[in-house]
Amino acid sequence: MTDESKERGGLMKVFKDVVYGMASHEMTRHAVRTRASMEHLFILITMGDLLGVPILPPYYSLRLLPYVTPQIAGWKRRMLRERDLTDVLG
Amino acid sequence: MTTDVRIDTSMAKYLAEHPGAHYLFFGGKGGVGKTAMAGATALWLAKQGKRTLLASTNPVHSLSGLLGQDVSGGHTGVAGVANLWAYEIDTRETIERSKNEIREKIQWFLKFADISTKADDFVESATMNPAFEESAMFENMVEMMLKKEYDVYVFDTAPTANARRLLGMSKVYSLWVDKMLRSREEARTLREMLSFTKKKEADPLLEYLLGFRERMGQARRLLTDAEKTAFFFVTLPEALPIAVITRFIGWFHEFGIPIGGVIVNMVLDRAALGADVPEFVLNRMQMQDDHMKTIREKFDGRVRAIVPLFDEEVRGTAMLGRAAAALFA
Amino acid sequence: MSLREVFESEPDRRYVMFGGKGGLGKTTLSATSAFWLASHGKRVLLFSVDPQASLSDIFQRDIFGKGPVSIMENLWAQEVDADRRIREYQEEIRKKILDMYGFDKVPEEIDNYIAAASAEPAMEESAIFDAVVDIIVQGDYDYYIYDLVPLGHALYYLSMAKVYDEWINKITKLREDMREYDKLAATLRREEKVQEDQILGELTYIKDRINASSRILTDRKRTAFFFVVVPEEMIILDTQKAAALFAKFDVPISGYIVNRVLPPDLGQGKIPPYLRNRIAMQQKYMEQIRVTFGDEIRSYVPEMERDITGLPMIERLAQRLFVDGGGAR
Ligand SMILES: Nc1ncnc2c1ncn2[C@@H]1O[C@H](COP(=O)(O)OP(=O)(O)OP(=O)(O)O)[C@@H](O)[C@H]1O
Ligand SMILES: Nc1ncnc2c1ncn2[C@@H]1O[C@H](COP(=O)(O)OP(=O)(O)OP(=O)(O)O)[C@@H](O)[C@H]1O
Ligand SMILES: [Mg+2]
Ligand SMILES: [Mg+2]
Repeated sequence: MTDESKERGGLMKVFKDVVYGMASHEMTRHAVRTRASMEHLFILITMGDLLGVPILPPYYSLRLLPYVTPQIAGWKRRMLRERDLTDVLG
Repeated sequence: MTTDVRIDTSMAKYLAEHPGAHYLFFGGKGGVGKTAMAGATALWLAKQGKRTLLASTNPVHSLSGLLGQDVSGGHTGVAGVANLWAYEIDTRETIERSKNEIREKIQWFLKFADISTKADDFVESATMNPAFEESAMFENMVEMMLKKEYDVYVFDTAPTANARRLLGMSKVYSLWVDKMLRSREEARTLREMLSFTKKKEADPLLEYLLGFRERMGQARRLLTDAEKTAFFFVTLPEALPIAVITRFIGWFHEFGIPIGGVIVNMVLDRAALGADVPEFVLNRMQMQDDHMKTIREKFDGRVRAIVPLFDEEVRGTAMLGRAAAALFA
Repeated sequence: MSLREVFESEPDRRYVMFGGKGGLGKTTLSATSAFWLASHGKRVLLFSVDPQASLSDIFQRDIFGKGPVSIMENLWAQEVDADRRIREYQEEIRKKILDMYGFDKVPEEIDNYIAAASAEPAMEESAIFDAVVDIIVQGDYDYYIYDLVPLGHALYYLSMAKVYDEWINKITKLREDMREYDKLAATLRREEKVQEDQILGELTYIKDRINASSRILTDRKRTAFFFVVVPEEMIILDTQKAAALFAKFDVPISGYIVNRVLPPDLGQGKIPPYLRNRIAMQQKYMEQIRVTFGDEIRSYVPEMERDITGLPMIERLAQRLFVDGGGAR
């Protein structure tokens, strides 16, 4: 448990190092993006079989489905969209 | 011995009539003698000159105990018996392998979908599923069956619930993989729609799923092939074991797994008992007679053998020889 | 201490289990103990997750998937139907989605996903695991008697809690990391507070459920776990191995019941050689059982002259298990 919270502290520290010097709105944008990327990861590891990623989601992951229901369609598109130039420059 | 149960087709006759029966399974309620009967059958087949593997899919293995030698490490020749090998399936390696496979696939997908978050730690969670153990057992079993290194494979299975799930696995997995393939197809269509370059891409997930479906299909074909596979149900002349195999036979019918027949074990041998039988034994004999009646009604024509209750445990090749003689009488 | 004394002196041990290898009498002794406690005025729920439905067979009525069914005054028996449980679970999820978003129909792709979940390989076992949580956390009976499946399978359920616990910890950690970023974004935007993460709430709920069953099953004060053994060499060895495994999962082992002991007075009269050998074999292993399990033995139960089905027979066995055999020291 303490290990995990330390790790989390570590993660935040790395993040803060990265954004150190950025303008505040840039930092906000970065935080929001990282958050979004983690959301994608979250859906992937709990419900990846939605896209035919061969994970066996445990019984209990179905309980999480109601909370991400509105995001599913967007998530699918995001997962499958090709990266284009605007993404790279983004 | 109680003789009012007809045996039209004995074990020996059944096997003679099914020369292509390469995969023999023994199942039934706990403690009815599945291991003993599987062992006796394997021994008998080996003595007929067939290269035979006796394998246990019971997570609580007992072949080493049965044979008095360690057969957990791999296919092990049974001491003093030509043509006979035994093996207690070990799932650890297979579990690691399938976990790695899943990790790889997810890593690929992360790159593909351009998820940049450091994910290693979380990818691990996708490999945490209690089903792995069982599916690894199944995959190992199927792998062995497909290799065809032996003339006959004799499988000692776990008590019913487990064995039902194990053999039902090919069906469940087929459903699962079909569902995954559908999702994958959908994903591809969507991907193509969203693509601006319209370039064709290789899809390792699809390949993996197709390979998996192929394996499951093969397994299912083998397991439901009445020429190659037979499942024998072991019971005692008692109410609970009979009720259990009655349900079991129903399920297997649904799965399409061919039923080889019923073996009634631990039957009191009237002849061997002699004249002065104490009341206790008379009563037990009466009980067995009652249940033999049920067996005759329920499994008429499908009883392959009636094996007496021996005066000692069935352990070691000498005792297995005695059991085999009774089973193939 | 005898079995009866264990129950009388430790009334807080309300969760009772009989474990052991297949077919030694777990279901029989569970039903017998339930009967005994119920006839002493305790409200008892006897339940099983075994799809082979032995409780239906022992009470000679179909109780499978019907919820707690009254068997006699103070005694209820329940057999969990996993398929039905899965259907209810799917319905629960659908309903939750409708309620949360005020939809009158679950979006098609989501609905398909829920429907396909029943094809998941671990679904049945997990549903069973979850059903047991429901049964034992309700707490309104005086006693819960859990008729266990054979050893290997029982260990599988116990390890399931561990796998799920690891899984939930990983997922929760990801969610918590996400919340950190939420907080950060909010601080940067000088917002008052972050929206509460409902998923974290749900994860906590799941974690609680997962741990509820192992918490109770490993609670020394509230749980009694008895091993059933019979006087046979392999079974004694396997039971010792199993006891070590269960101890690893912190299951509090409360003693051993020796079942199917041939009545000793049988040996007095003139008996057939077959029986003489069996009695001699048992005597040898009875001695070994005494040496191995010593004062952990809670009762000696004789082999009855017939199998145990129906209340009158169970009542007779209860007398043997709690009164006659209870003099065990
Ligand atoms: N015909 C028989 N006569 C005497 N003893 C027997 C006979 N058949 C089996 N046994 C003994 O009964 C016990 C249970 O048999 P076995 O281990 O083969 O059952 P099982 O169905 O494989 O049990 P499990 O469900 O635990 O795997 C063993 O001690 C075995 O030696
Ligand atoms: N003391 C006894 N005397 C006579 N028969 C008995 C005795 N104990 C159990 N039996 C019989 O032995 C058989 C197996 O018992 P039971 O079904 O209770 O075992 P189990 O451990 O629950 O089996 P499983 O592992 O399959 O769940 C049944 O036919 C039962 O009636
Ligand atoms: Mg066995
Ligand atoms: Mg039972």
